[in-house]
Amino acid sequence: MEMKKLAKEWRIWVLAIVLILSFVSLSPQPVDSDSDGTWDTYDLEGMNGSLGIDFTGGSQLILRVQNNDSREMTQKVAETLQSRLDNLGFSGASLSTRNIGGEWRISLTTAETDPARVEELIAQEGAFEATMPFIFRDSANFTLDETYRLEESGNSTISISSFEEGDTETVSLSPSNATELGGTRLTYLGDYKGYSMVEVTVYDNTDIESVDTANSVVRQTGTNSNQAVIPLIVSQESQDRIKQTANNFQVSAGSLVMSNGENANLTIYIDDEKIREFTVSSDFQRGSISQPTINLNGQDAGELRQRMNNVQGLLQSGRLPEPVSVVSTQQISSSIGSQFALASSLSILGSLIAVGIIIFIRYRNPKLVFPIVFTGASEVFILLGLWFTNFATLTLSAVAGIIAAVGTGVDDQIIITDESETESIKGWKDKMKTAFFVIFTSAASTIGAMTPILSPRLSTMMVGAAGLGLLGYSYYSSKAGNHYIAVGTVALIISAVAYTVPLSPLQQIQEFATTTIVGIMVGIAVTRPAFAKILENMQQ
Amino acid sequence: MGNFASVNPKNLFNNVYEDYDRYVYVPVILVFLSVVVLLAGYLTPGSALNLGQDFTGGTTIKYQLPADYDTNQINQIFSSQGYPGSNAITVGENQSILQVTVPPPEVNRTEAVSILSDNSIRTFDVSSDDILSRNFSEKELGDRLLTLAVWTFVLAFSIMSLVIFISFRDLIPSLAVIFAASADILFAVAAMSLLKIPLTPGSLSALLMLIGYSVDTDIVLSSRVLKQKKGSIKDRIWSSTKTGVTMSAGGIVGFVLLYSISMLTVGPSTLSEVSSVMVIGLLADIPFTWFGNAVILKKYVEGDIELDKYLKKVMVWK
Repeated sequence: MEMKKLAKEWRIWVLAIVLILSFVSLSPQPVDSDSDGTWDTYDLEGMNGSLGIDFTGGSQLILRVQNNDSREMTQKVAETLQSRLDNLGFSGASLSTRNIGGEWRISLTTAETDPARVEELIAQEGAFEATMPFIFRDSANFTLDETYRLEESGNSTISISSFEEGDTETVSLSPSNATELGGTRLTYLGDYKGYSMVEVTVYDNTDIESVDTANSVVRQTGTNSNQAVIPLIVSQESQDRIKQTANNFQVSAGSLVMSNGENANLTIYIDDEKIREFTVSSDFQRGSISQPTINLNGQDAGELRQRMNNVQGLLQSGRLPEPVSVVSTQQISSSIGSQFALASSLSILGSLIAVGIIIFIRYRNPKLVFPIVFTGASEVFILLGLWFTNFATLTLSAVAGIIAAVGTGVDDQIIITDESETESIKGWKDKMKTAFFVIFTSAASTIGAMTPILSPRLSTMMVGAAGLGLLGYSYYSSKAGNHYIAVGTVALIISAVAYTVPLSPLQQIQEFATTTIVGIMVGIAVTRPAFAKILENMQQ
Repeated sequence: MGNFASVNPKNLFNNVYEDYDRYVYVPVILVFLSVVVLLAGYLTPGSALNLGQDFTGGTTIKYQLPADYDTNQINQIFSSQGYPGSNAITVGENQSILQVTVPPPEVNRTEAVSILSDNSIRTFDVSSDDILSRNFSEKELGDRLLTLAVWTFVLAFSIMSLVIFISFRDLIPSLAVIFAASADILFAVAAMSLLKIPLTPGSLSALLMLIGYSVDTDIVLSSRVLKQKKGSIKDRIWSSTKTGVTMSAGGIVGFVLLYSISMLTVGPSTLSEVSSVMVIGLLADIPFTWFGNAVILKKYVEGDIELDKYLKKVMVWK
């Protein structure tokens, strides 16, 4: 083997450069773990970003939006949930919308190994509401942007009239029905101690402009009692509304009271759960309060902090436009994950060694073992390198793809070797022509077989186009036999039937298909030509 | 020991080639057996191709539970609580984990606890903390994925067939390759049904992978026999057999390793499903290629098959 000659070959250089790039990508990256601006550790953590939950442990959930699972609504809900999980500090939670056989679903992947916690969070609608009660007997006026007349109208219903510009409009409410009065929501609750009680919604999710997380604290209020304070920044509109509402109440001892003298408490609900109830100071009648706070009380500071974070997350991400239900959960414990990683690396190493042994048995030539095993190892290396550049997430199905790609790679090298050894007057180029015909045909069929996993629509079109092409060719060319018509027709029928079925990518094995296709392409473009050159040099 | 070394592959091939045409019965019998297995599985309840939870929907619960019970009893308990058809097995070190697979409807976390802790057959002292994992999937989602899986497979097979046809142009050689590949898949599916390997996304990828691997050897054979002008047909078949069997051997050894390593480290998993299907398929590929495809090609090159003439008779309009 002439090393000098080999070193001049560009195919070898391409392989060398790609290998160096993969090496850089695979080597541990310096990580600034304490954010002080200096690279301090060579941290393997940085690589975990591209390792899928198959290896790190975690959960995958598929969610359906209830009532309306259109693409737009699903997208909207996914964005809200993403922001909620981000706010709650869920490590690596990623949400995406997927078309599964014509229906839109949300796919959620997180490193959290207990899906119950995730399920609980997404089951919450995050509906935030702050209300004040108002009671009356027979009739009362209630002033917001204008004055409304509330009247008991018998049969436990009430009527609410507005007198805008001389027109009288009246709505009738039975218990727990609600109406909007100039943008403010009013709910009739029914009888309360001989009075009729309505509830005015002074804030809801749309009024929260932001949650002041920087000033949210948990403070000790006594032995074994703590309080969490979450300041909210609310819209001008809601500030006006609470001022208008407050002016409908009387004041007693500096607080707003109802007409029976009881405190008109402001009550905060999240998903219909009462979070906090407090008396309202008469200050509300004059100035506007732009930073109301939510206070939570509890014994354990740690638990309270957790609750505070949950409430913050819910409020920041806003209310889900529609509730979601979980249609599938998969959880992988982190211990099984690391076992998968061990099994995968051992098997890849093991199969390379096994291939070396098979090559030795077959050719009885130790000189051949090295280039074939080396080329196979290069492919593993390049594919892994690609994966760690955040090209995609390395999952178990991607590992299956690497094994598949390397397997076909080794097959191709055996083909090249055997073809090169055929005794014939043909030159090296002609021999390689036959070898590469086999390689290209098998690559095309394998890539073709993987495409439907990634894009069944494109595949349907490819089959249809090939069918049309064959029919067209048989029409114009006298060389085409009758079987062109037969094959073309069958292809067209398959494509036509497939077109009527709502098809979508098969998410579960997408990484498998991508890796196999990329692996075969790397093989054809980089490693196979280099291997052929090395072999040519060895035989000269 | 000495016997093995004295078997000369070339001599073996020479003997086989004497009567090569008759060996076409080997793949035919294998296909027949596969069809019988699949039909029998279809007709006998409980032995058809086992669909994984991704495709059927249902719940799989893993409990941490000391193994002092009978799994049949666990199934009875689930059945008595309104979840018939469950399948309980023990897994893990010291068989300390009870894994129950329950068909739809969903068993939620609370129910998973109460079924074992509150029933009339035998009550276990389990709490929510004893549930190591609970994976579930809705039936509707499963049905949808199964349709997708079937169509993905149909399209994959169609594209492969078209690539083969466009490369070789001739009907018989293309059909021979497609026959070998489909027989291989059919055999693998029958073996899955027989060995109770479930159809999961993992084993589905293995079946799709098999399409690629199976045609690899067929393409080697066909291109040598059809495109090489030098040497007798026998020589061309022999040279391609050497190449093809080396290729298959590499694959088989690799996947046997993957199977054993993954079984030793993780136990039954996606990896063991993929590798077992691959090993079966690659083994079956040997007779289908070298007795099926090869014999058809030999007859074709010798001019014994003229399908085009029959086609002409059928297609009266041409």
